[in-house]
Amino acid sequence: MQSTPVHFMTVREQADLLASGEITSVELTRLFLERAEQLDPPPFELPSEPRSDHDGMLSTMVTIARDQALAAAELADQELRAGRRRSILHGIPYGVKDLLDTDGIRTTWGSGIFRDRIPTRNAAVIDRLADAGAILMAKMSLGEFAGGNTSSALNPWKLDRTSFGSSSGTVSAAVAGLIGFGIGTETGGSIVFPGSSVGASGLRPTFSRVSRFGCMPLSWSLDKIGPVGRSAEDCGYILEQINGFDPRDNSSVDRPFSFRPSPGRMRGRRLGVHRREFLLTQSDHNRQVFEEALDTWESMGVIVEDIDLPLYPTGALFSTIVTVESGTIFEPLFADGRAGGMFSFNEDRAAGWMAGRMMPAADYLTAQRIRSQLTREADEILSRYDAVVAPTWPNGAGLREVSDGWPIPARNEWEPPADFDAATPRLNYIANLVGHPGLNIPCGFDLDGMPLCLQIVASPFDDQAALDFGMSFQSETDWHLRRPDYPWRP
Amino acid sequence: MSIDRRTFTKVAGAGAAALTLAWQQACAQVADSGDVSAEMVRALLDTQGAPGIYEDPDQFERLRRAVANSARISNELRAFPLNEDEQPLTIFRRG
Repeated sequence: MQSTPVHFMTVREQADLLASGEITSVELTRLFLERAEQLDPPPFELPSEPRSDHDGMLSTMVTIARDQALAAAELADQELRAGRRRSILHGIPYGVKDLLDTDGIRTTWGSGIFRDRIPTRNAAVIDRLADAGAILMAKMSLGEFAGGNTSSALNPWKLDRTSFGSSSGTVSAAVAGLIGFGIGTETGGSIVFPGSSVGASGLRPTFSRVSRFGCMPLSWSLDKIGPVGRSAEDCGYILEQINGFDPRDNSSVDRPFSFRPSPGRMRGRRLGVHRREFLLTQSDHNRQVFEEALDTWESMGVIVEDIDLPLYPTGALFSTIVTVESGTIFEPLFADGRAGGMFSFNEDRAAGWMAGRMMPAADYLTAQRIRSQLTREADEILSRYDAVVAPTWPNGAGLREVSDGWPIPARNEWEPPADFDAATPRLNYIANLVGHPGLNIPCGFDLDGMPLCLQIVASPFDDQAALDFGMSFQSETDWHLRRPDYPWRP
Repeated sequence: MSIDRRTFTKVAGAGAAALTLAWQQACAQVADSGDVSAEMVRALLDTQGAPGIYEDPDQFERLRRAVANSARISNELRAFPLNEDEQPLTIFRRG
């Protein structure tokens, strides 16, 4: 039997190698560094100077922190030799979306405006991962200012396809075996959507569970930080290390999360299925893939029931809340004219922020009242099930376009028809608005060989339930173990 | 320049009222014609201080479209059948 290459191993498999002494943290870090530097060196001297051809590379990284990573790995090895293992992540190299501050390592927020920004502090998550012994290896590419309209990285399954946004660098690198694990962020879908396009396992934790201190805010009331890995189990191990109360984040709550790596008995658990979203794809094949995924749980004795979700103006809620909050956050860019330096494909987005600044407070509060009403309804629906599931995205990743040298999604190839879409409640948008945890897991491939994924949503602070459904599914299937061949398909 | 509290309240109140009034008119324009006039956008932009990058005609046109879109959204939110007891998710909370 062929063993898994180290660079494709899960967190637990890497940790086992480190614990047994079969590999040192320095060796593991060098392995990932050399792989990244050989296959996908940062394409941008400056993030504002992207290349149009990408030379067949994925463009997952903005900065590789070679020296810092090797120094941290040396320390991790010393501690391991002394019998001090901080956590299961001890000695494993990771990449973090370039939105989180890293002391002494530039943090660009994906924008040429901040190409030389070097923080003098760490984000809370970076400190927590350092305490856990993990090795910061690279800052991962993202859509400018976490814009979901930009795939900063290409898709390793097929280079002419989008990897969506905004955590595309993190998810593409995880699937391509360029990092040990990753950290992404999500405001309305920026972990699970790109995760779906490349077949990565990624978790949007319950809102309030992970401190956003030191992370660029896009929307104070919607932003979440979460793990990206090569399995649901990976996500649990990572969340266990990055969660926790932080008084520097007003949303933070003291609800510790202790990961249970076994899903336990699934028989009798209840899974709600939002089957209307199966109809958003025009492909019979895709629908069949989603249906067969449900069979996997049913064969374990899980009770699968169809559910309805309420139709709310989720697009209007997101647009109002994000543009008003972003318009406030980025006001200095308008005040001194730096907003004019945003990438050309983002000029409409900047205009949206300015329009958000003009919207009266009463409309913002109305949006937050509607959101509150939605939260009550969504919590009630979730309370009847252990989890609820729907396709993360109805189709495999569509063709990408290029704008200013950046790959951006060709929206018509990627999205369902607008009229049908608008009339169908979407689990992802509801779950994001109300702060429910959501786990993206691969469940098959479309006819072009692009991954298809499901999102498993659970009640607030029951992240473990979403992980249980993900781990049980992955114990019976191997979709999460499929890897794109190198050289990546053009 | 020093400013007393009474003057500040008057100026700030006038600014807020001008913004609210202009936004109301933008919402009405969108409801009537589906679009917002350049004059209306200039009035809204005036409430934000110097026009900055929106002195550029192309950027201004983008802003005009964005304002029309946001005004449409305002109308959509205002029409939503909201439970009158519902509080916004912005309540200050201690402990």
